[in-house]
Amino acid sequence: MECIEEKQNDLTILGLSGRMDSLTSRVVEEKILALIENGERHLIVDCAQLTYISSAGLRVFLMAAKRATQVKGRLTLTTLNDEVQQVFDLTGFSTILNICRSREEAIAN
Amino acid sequence: MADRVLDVQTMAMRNDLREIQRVEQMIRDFITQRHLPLPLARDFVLAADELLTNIISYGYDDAREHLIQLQLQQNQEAVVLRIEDDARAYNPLLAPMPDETANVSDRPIGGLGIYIVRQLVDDLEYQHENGKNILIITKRFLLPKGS
Repeated sequence: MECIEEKQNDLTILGLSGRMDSLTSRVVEEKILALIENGERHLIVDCAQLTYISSAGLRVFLMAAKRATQVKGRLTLTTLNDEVQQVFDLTGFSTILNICRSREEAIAN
Repeated sequence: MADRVLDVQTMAMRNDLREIQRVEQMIRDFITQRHLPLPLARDFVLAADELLTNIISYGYDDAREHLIQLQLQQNQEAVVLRIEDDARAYNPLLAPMPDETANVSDRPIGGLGIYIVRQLVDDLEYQHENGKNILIITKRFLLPKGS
């Protein structure tokens, strides 16, 4: 699991690559929560290189979205691959989280 | 007529989350070597991950090493995975279902794993025998014509 942080004006884009499962999701959780604690309000998580997600990973996104909402911020996920998208669809997460098809769309929002 | 058993493969794993990757490989190999539909591997890997993560993370009352026995079975029209563990008796079928329509703030953090499993497989069965939890998941498939 790798998280690469990138800045675009007042936006922080976090690029994930690898797997989000019960072993690896904590890395992402700590990273996102630390960014929010440090004052980030508009986080975009680019999932183009995310190859696998289990409920452990969904939990991290849910927790992060809750935290972002509490501080009047926003968490947007982009570019989910088909397998990952399927897990979001199965659980109804596609409708409760902000998901954009492309990075550009996420930035425009 | 009962679905005929064509092939069986077994494996034992330790109650360590790092072992799940090995199970994943076994499932992928099992499906590909038998030329079964590939989405089966994807769904089975995720279902097994969720069930094993629950067992390993929450099932044991001590810090000792335990073995979990796995059996993959190919039937004429289904793949069946049987998981047997000596963790605390727990029937995941009795877990409450999350509310799919709740929004971000209301949606609880837990209960997701088993929900995913129920969405992915055709059958989830639980037994408790001789102090062991036995979980059996079944996914049916149709082979393309001519194979």
